[in-house]
Amino acid sequence: MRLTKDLLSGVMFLAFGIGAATVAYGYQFGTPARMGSGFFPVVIGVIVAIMGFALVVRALVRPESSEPVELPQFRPVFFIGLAIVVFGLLIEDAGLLASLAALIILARFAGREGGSLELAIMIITLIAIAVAIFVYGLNLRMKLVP
Amino acid sequence: MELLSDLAIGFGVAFTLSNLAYCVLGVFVGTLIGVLPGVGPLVTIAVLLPLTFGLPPEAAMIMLAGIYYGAAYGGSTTAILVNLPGESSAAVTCLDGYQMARQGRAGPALAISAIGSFVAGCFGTFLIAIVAVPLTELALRFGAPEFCSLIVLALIATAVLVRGSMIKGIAVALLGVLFGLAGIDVTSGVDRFTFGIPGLIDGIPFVVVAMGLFAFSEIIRNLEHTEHREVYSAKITGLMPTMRDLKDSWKPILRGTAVGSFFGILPGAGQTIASFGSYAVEKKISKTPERFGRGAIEGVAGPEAANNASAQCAFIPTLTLGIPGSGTMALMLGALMIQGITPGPRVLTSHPELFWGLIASMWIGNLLLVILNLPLIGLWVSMLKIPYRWLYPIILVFSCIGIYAVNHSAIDVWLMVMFGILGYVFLKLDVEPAPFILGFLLGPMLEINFRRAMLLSRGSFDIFVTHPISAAFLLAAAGLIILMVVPTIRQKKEEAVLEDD
Repeated sequence: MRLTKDLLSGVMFLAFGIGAATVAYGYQFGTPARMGSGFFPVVIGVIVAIMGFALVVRALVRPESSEPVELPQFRPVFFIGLAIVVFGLLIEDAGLLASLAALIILARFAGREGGSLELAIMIITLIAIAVAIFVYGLNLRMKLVP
Repeated sequence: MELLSDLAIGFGVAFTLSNLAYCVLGVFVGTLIGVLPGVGPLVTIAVLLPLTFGLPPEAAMIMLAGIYYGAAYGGSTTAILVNLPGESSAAVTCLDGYQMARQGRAGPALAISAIGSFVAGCFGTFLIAIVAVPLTELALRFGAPEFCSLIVLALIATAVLVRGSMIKGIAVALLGVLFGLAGIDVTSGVDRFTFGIPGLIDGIPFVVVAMGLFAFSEIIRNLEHTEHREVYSAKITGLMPTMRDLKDSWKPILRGTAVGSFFGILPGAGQTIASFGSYAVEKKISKTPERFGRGAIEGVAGPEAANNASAQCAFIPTLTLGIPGSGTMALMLGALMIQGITPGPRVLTSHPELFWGLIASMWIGNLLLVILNLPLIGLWVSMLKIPYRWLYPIILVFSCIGIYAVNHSAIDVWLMVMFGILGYVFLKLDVEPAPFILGFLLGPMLEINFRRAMLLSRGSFDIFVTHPISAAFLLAAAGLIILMVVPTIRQKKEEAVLEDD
């Protein structure tokens, strides 16, 4: 079986649609005239699931109608994601300076170029710019150090 | 002349020293970021949005509008000099603009693009000023069924006209609607799709979705593909176009303006179709169509005017009806909501100074683009030389601080990663994110109006077709779907929205 873009997006829509409809079915459904909080999300979820199903069927019947999926490169996604998650972990307790430094250093691993001197310059300039704009320029309440 | 007095209010607001300064700042920063290859207008606005948080609503919108034109114009500069379109609508400019640059005529190409954009911008602003009042008056008479059908039309138009298959477009718009419903249901007070996460009770913040879906996935896409840039900067000598250039360009500029205004007003149609439409028109009526693609100035003038005219006119449905026609406009609307203003036809009467001030500042912004851009071309060119490994940390820093600043919540930052991964999956599966953000923003509005309409009709779906305006919207939506099923038209669309990235 060819893993085409249409097939996988169909599976994605099917999963989201069924998931949303199932969760929303737990809310009060009501009648068309007096809808409960579940009515609308169930209807939309079912429509999304049907469209996902249609995509899956089309992809299985005519696999040539869509391109195969390119293999994802996990390195950029992983390190950019990790950098942001760590920023979120540090921002509340460790302050802006440390969390920005962590963000920039971890994000660096997502790419493959540049030396450590450049990284140091980047950390200093970016933190200086961010502090100047957000803390002094816009007066956002953020502590710099713990 | 009510229009004149309204415009007088607007210029009064826009010409205050501080608002003028925000307009200049917006246009400047917008161009600065918009020029950067690999940073599209959507990301530019999303990343710069936090800069406007502390400002009063008028100043915030004026600055954002400036960022919006600046980003669009910066994208054309990159298209001409590096052959890298920042967004699909600039892809047309690459065709002839880059060829002109290679022939040493980057200066005239940039100048014509600026002049064309300015002419189109003036016309677009004028059009908004004229139609705003009658259109809002019409919209104020809309009831729940009309709004419901209008939102359906906007979602379907966007979903159908983006790149790729129609089913995927509609499905992703509806998926956006589902995500938009997360949080407290205003009618019943029940939490929906919050999964016990406290930060989700007020719904998923709009900025989080926009940054995750666009900024995050754009960074990943750029990191996956090694960059290849060739800047034709050494050859920018004469900026001024010759008399011959102007003579060749003025008609394409006017035609492009007309094409662009038309597509800009339509919900969902957007700039890409406008600029490609204008290019097709110019090539068709040209006596020498073989010059197109080899540096024909008409191929820059027309599409650039069309692009800017549609960018302006996209404000019409956004401001008067509260229905954005594109992802970028959805962001502008989101910014308005962050300022505590409910978008819709009432903005004109409840915040006239915001509305007319914004319109006046649009014209000023367009003027500033011409004044600022040509002399600063050297600065833009040097921006083009910044390697991407410097750019993405800057985008990340701005995004993270911006997201955190909205609610001072780390959960929002983590949610952004989640939407970033969703955006990356969309990217891999060729699912366009623009309909998602539109659905996300319009979802709650769609549900409220749908519920109200069904309550009015005591549960009968007839109400959507017995109200004539609502029936017309639905007919238009159905017409669009049928049109896309016709194979030849679908093929034309694929040609028109084909991105060559």
